[in-house]
Order: sequence, then structure tokens, then C-alpha cells
Amino acid sequence: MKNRIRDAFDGIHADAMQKQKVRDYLEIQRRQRAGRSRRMAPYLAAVAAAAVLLVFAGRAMLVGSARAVSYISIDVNPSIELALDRSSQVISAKAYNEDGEAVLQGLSLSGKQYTDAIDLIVSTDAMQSYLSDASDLTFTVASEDPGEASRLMDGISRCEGCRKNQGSSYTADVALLKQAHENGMSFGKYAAYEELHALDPSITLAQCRGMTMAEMHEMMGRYGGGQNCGMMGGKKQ
Amino acid sequence: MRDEESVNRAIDAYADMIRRICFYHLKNAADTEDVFQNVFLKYMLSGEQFADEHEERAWIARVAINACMDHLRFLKRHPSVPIDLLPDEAASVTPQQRTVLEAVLALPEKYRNPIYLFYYEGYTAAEIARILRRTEGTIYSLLNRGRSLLRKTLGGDDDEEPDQGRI
Repeated sequence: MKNRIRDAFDGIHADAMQKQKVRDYLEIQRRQRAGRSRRMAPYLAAVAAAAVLLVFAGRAMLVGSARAVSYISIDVNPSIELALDRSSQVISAKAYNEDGEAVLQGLSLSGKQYTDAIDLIVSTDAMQSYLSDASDLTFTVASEDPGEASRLMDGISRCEGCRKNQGSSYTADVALLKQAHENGMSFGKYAAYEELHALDPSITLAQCRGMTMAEMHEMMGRYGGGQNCGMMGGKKQ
Repeated sequence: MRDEESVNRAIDAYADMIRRICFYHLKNAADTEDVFQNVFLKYMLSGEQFADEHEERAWIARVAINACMDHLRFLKRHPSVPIDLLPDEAASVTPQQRTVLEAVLALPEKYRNPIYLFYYEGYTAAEIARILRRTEGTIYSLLNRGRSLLRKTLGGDDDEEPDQGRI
């Protein structure tokens, strides 16, 4: 099999014209970018100074008013947590593994509504590379206010990032966050670990750290369980 | 931004690999050209430092695969690729090569990357897992299922088991 595949693909090459075309394209890009940065240089310092002032002023106004009351854990293989204020806007986003860090890289989520933040996260190339028919996009919601948790679940199920990727959402007790974070996990993944551990006490946290949500759910299924009957009062939507 | 010499070296070193990745994902030469340009532009602008050529090659493979997937999503096309829509390649391959390529292209999309990276590029399952950002277990099962499907189409032996690591 190996030899046949190697032989077949050996017939596929980039030809000289394709290489030259890409060289020409990159040369144009290089010139355009060099010209643009020369033209923009005098303005950049002023813009940067203004931006710094705005950031400090904005932060000063927000300090004291933003307190996290709800949390959303987004887990596939990347694990990410969003902390939300009373108006369901993102206060902070934190990754709980390297894959999650790659997803959050370059994203600015503070101040965004949670549904917009979810859509942004799910649409990144980094997150999309994990999403397939075989993956489980899992949202877990915890809130100090049970009514708010229910509203968030409802919003998640209707947002594009969840619908297009067949995401599932669950609720968890807010007390679970501390335990999860002490163990270096998002609370969504930790909730799944607790459930799996209840079904098979030999399952360890270390094993679960290396598993995707799809693998954890598949294992739960083999034990006849599922994250919709969780020990922490989990509820699938 | 990387200098011209580095970019030219990368084009010479990786153009064939990107062409093959585009070949089993994309529908026509124009789409391929877009991906080709995007991958090398990303390489030119990236500040990513690589420990060695092996690491650089894996990075390029990942960027190319992601670029193909993005392009497919953008075009909202089904990734199934009839070989006769790639006239340049179709003209240059032998009937035997064509049979194998058609079998690979007929695989469901999720199997194609692991199969190509394992059998052609010679990456181990662990390395493919890192490139595709999947777990090693998932890669093993995709390789095994993909190989079974190919065996059904092409017949023949199994000269390399996925769990034997690098070819």
C-alpha cells in the first residue's frame, strides 16, 4: 500500500510556472507592505499614543463595575473558559490547554456578548481544525443565578457557532470551578471527568487531560452513562 | 517578515508537498493557486522559528491543510474531487497511479490527510496528531479505517501498519 500511494503521489508536482507565479505574488506583497509601512510610520506613533490613553481611561471606568457571575466552558480538544458579567458580556477568556491557547491567540473578546464571543471562537481556523463529525463541541454553563444559567444555555443553543457545529450544552454547579482550576482543567472538562470517574473509578485526571471530549463521551457511552445524567446536576440541552 | 532567500528556499522545498495536499482537497487549479499563495504569504509574514527542517515542514503541512479547509468552507463546495478536473496532473500520471489517486480522492475527507501524511510524507501517528491537532488515538483509528477502505478498492497487501510508526 505504502509503495503504491508513494508512487501515485510522486506524479503530482508543482511546476515551474506555479513556483514562479507564487514568487511574483510574494514580491508584489513584499513591496506593497514595505511601501505601506513607510507611508504609515509618521501616523503610527500618534495612533499608538492615543490607543494607550483610551485603554487606560476605559479600564479606569470599568474597574469595580465588572464582576464575573457566570462562566462558560468551551471544550472540544481545546479547553477555554469565558467569565461573564451580569449583562452576559465577556470579562475574561482563559485557555486551559495549549490547543485552547492557540485558539485564543489574537482574539479580543472582552466586552463582547457571549454569543458573539462563541461565534468568534468557533470560527477561528485553530478551532475549526478540531471540528468534524467525530468531534464533540461541548459548552458547559455555570452561574450564581440559576435563571441566568438557563438563559445562557438557551442563547448558546441558538448561536451560529453551536448550531453549525452540532454543539451540546450542559449546566454545572458554580462550586465546581474552584476544584477544576485547582486541577488545571476547565470546569467543563472537569465535570466530564467527574462523571466518567463515577462510572469507572479507575479513570484518572491525567488520563482525561489527554482525551478529547468526544473520547470521554464515547467512554461514558460504553459504560452506559452520558453527560446528560451528571453527578453534578448536569443537564444536556 | 522573512527575507526573499528564505522564502525562495521554502518554495523550492515545499511546493510539491503543498501541491499534493491541494490536489487531494481542491477542485481546480485556480483554487490551488489561491491556497498556494496564501500558504507562502503566511510563511513569509510569520515570525515562527523552527528548530529544524522537519518541524518547518510539519508547520507548512498544517498551514496548507488549514488553508485548503478554509478555502473549501469559503466556496461551500463538497471536497470530493473528480480527478478529471485536474487536467495537468491527470495527463501526466500512469493508469496505475490514476487508479490509486482516484481511490485516495474517493475516501471521505477525514481520512485523506492522515493517509497522505502517513503513507507519503512518512510522519508517525504522533506527528500527524500534532499537525492535525487531534489525539494520537484518533489518528490511529482514522488510519486504520482509511486503510481498510483503500484495501477494499485497491486490494493488495498491508506493507505498513499505522502502529509501526514512521515509514
